[in-house]
Amino acid sequence: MIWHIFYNSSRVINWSTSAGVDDRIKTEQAEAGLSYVQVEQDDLPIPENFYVSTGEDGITEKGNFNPTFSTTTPTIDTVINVTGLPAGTEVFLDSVSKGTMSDTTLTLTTSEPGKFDVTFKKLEFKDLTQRVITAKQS
Amino acid sequence: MNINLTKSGATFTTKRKDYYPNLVKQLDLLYHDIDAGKLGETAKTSTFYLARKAVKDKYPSG
Repeated sequence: MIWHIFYNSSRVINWSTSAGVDDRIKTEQAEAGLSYVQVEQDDLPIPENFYVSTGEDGITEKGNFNPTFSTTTPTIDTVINVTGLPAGTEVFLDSVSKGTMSDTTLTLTTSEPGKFDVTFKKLEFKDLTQRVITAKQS
Repeated sequence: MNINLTKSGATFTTKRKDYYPNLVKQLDLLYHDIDAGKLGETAKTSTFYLARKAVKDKYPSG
């Protein structure tokens, strides 16, 4: 199946269709800042699973994050070491971006009790969320 | 890169609520304080203490 894919400057797929796309649509999308690439594949090219390849001549399936947490049920005032993440990963805490990792080192410091959702995002990987639950006072 | 795990809008009330030991644990702490005489000998005649002690006596710990 032929897919017509429109994507942004970060190579994130914005939308796609297997229906016909004429030059008028391509022009409108270009004016909106979206580039175009055509691919042939069976799978639906949804942005959660695919991104536009480096050469912008096709799409690539996203990989999986595989981080290791020193603990996900820490006590208060614990430093959690997270390893196995690539540099360039954007880290979110409860859906709010906390920045992008410049290297592969990430630590999480627990200073308050509660449940925290830590999400990792990077173009080449599927989003991953890990819940961290601070243990109650023992 | 380090991130502090904090909740936006968290108050002292919510922080305390999330950090207190669970109620079973708190009641057990209270029982043992009574048992140790920290609340006075009359506390050992309270229905709370006696009810809890009855259960402990029926199912003693190993």
